[in-house]
Amino acid sequence: MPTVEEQALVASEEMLLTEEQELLDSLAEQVAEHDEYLRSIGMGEEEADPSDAHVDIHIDGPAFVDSLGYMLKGMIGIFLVIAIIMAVIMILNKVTGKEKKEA
Amino acid sequence: MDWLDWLLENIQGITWQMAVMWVIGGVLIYLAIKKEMEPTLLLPMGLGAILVNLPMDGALKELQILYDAGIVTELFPLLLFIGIGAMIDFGPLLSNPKMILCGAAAQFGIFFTLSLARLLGFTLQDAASIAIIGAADGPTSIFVAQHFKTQYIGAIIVAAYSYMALVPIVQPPCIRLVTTKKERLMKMEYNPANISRTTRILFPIFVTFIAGIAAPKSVALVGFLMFGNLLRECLVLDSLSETAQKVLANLVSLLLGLSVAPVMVWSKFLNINTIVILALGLVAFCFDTIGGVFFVKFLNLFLKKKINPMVGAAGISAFPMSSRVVHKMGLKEDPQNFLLMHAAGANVAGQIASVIAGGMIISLIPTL
Repeated sequence: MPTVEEQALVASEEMLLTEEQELLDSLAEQVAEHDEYLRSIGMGEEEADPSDAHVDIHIDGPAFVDSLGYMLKGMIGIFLVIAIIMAVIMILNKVTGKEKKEA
Repeated sequence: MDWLDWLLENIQGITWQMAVMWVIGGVLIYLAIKKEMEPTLLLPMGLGAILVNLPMDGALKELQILYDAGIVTELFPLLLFIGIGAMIDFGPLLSNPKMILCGAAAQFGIFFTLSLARLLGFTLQDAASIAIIGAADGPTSIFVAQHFKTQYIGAIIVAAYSYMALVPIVQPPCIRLVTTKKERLMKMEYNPANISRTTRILFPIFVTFIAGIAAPKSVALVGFLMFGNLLRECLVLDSLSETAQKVLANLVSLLLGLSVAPVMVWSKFLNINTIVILALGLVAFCFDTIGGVFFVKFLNLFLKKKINPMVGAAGISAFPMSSRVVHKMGLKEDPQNFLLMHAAGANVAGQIASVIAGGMIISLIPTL
């Protein structure tokens, strides 16, 4: 019968192995994505067969939710920059307008 | 009879996909000549589409050199921006600065389309490249799409320029959908302020500073646009300004149109994704329009002198088509309703805002 310490050791080793496997899986996924990208721009080891143009359209709910953050940041960013430009125009009009009156 | 074998071999090399691309090229040439839609770009693009879809790869090798030199390096869109900057008169905007807000609001379609493209499963970088069609600005679309090195750059360029040309068809139904007759009849006074030369000269310089600090990755876009405008407004480089407006802009447009041909090879262009991208581009234009109109309605809640909500729709970059559309719609409702100068203010604001939107996209979204 394994002791409590041995059981804990086995359990922790199993956990480590699972984590390592997950890491390997995610790395393999990233490599596959990178290879696909390289092929798409004509830098892969072998060109994809043009007739293989496949439909990869699918509904991706989580990606949509993530993108809402970009929408918010982007619109706020644009309005902020535009508001600064608007303020600059107003100041320029005021300053150069005064110069004209004085002249 | 060796030459006959050789001829037969070439004829046998023709595929139905090539024939489809010839038809697409033909349609682009037709739109350019018969309908006069963006002829400087659609004509070379149309012939380019035919040139790269011939047996033995047609002129692909030669056009690839142009593509690598002008598109991959992002040189052509930037040079074109000098010409565009020299063409724009920011007077109506400087005269009524609050119109610049319409330009910001009318970029909503870009971010809406980004989310929609993500929902349909495109990668973040591809979605961003597709969404920028909503900037209604060809050079910005090319610049951003090339920045993200998207495989869909051909479809994106075709969509961006086609919809810019189709603004008079796309915008009116969208505007009518979100405005009442009473709103469309709203009249606006036009009291142009006298804009000093100093303001006209300092404006492009300050905008370059602001955009350069807010979105440094895209400062080249704004910088080249504003450089063109500075050439125009400094009044001491008239011949350069004229060259930028006419010769440079035409020459770069011609080369740009031809140089996108390598991405219009049937194997890259003919797939369902192209149709989806064209549909997403239309969505982007519609939501730009709707975003601009709704923003003006919101702004009117706080303004004493109300703005006609249709003017908000002119906040896209397609200049001067969009302001003309709004003006014509105003006249259609009431022959005394002149909105052209107000819409022109919003329209030139759209030019600046669309470039800033491109910069925001580049800054927010990491490259692969």
